[in-house]
Amino acid sequence: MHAVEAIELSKRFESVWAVKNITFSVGERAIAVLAGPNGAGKTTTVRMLTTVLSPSKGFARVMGFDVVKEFREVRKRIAYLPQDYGAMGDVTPYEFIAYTLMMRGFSYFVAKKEARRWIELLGLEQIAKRRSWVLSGGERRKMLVAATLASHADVVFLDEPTTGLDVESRYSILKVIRDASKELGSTILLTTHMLEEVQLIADHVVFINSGEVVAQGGPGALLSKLPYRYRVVLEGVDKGCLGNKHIDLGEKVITWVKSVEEAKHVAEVCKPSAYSTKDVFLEDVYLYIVGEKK
Amino acid sequence: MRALWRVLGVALFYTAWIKRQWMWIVQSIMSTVGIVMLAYGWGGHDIVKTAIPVYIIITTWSFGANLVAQMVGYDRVSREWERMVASQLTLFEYFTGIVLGALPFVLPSIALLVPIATAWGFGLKLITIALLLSPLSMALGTFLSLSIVLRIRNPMNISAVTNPLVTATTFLPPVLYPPTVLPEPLRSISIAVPPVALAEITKALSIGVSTTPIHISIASVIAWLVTTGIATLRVLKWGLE
Repeated sequence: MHAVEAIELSKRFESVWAVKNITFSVGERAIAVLAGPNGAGKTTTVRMLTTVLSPSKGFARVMGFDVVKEFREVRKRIAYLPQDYGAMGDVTPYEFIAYTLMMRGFSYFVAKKEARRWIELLGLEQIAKRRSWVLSGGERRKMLVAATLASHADVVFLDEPTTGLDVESRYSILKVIRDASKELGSTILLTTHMLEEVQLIADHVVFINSGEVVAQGGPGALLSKLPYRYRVVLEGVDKGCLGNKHIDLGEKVITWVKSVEEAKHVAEVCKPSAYSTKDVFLEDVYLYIVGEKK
Repeated sequence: MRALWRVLGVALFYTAWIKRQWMWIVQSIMSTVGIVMLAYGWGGHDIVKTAIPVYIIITTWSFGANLVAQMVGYDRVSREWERMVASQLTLFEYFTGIVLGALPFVLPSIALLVPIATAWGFGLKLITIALLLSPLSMALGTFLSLSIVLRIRNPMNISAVTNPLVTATTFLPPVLYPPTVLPEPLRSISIAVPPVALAEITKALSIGVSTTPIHISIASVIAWLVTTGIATLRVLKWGLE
């Protein structure tokens, strides 16, 4: 059984289709990522899967239950951290986790015990009794992710859990997600537009652009779709020497090559003031696929 | 049992700010004492007897129209609403939790009126009638406010809507002053304002005095309850929007 299954899932707001015929599935206990730029339709998709929004077309199942017809069963099995969640109020991280668990039916005593455990697990002891509005962005996000994961839900939805955080906080949160997935056996579906870090933890990636799925699969399988092995960043070049296969960043230009030799050849032909080469990663797959579609 | 923990979880979550910002409760108590002194200073014993039950009704009306509606409105804007929808929590549990969680804000000032009324020898009936009508007053205030707040599409400071609404329905119309002060047709029209009708019913039942026939006041309250109830339920969706 798939933990999450979306079949031609679509959502229309007045005359605009925010999500169009999205089809994908996520296996149980997997970490799946909905990736794409801002406004791609990631949040709308998650809001349909979490029964917040009703699909305009198509259907979806979570743990085998229809998100519309059997929404009560779905709600028993999910936990959701919305994007830009901002209602921490005047509670401490300890209280936030404990009260969140109580809202999910945990007894006062179990919720307190679990809250203490998660505070320790995330190393939040120093700030456990501080009011949440004085916490840093990273500490606050950790608290929110902890409260969501601590619910022991079968499927956990995290909408942009690392956005706006520094590199250290981002990796620290991703580690918590990975560890929790292993320990609790939860399926985790998160959205992001930061692909480099996601590559490290994702079992399944779904690329969305303009409300449509443009590619999906495991990170390895997606990378193998790319006919190149290296990304080359060139500075101060005449873009004409690169043909269509490049992304113009003004002073810098990104292009892709199949080998180190080819990278050297490009450098010889284009004569950049400086250039660097590195292995391709998921962002390159995304840019390449979106470029091809255009 | 799980439902009980869920309600308690919501209540504790919303009590936290009141617990930490306890000066709001002090402000509420000072307002209560001030109203009693104002009534006594200008009208003596008889006016205090009228003011106490009416003030209980105003307090619970404001609690619903301002506090509860603000909390719900803020939850919508901050996406707390979505977090709660995507859980086992039901709409009933959510509202029960919010009301229980916010009660510490108003209970001290209402509780203070009991010894004041007793000390003045007003009898238990006065307070009991007002307390019995309080849930109705709170529900009506909540419905009216929510029927407006839930129609706001763009994120905004919800109190910019609920605060003027409370002032316009409690301090401006003849709630704390007698309707007879107003000329006709304003006097008759004022009964269409829910707190005016609620205050008239409370006064009629507790001290046997009212300006408007009680059946007109009751009709006004029922009409508002049905209208705002329907208006709220039409926009109040617990997910699957």
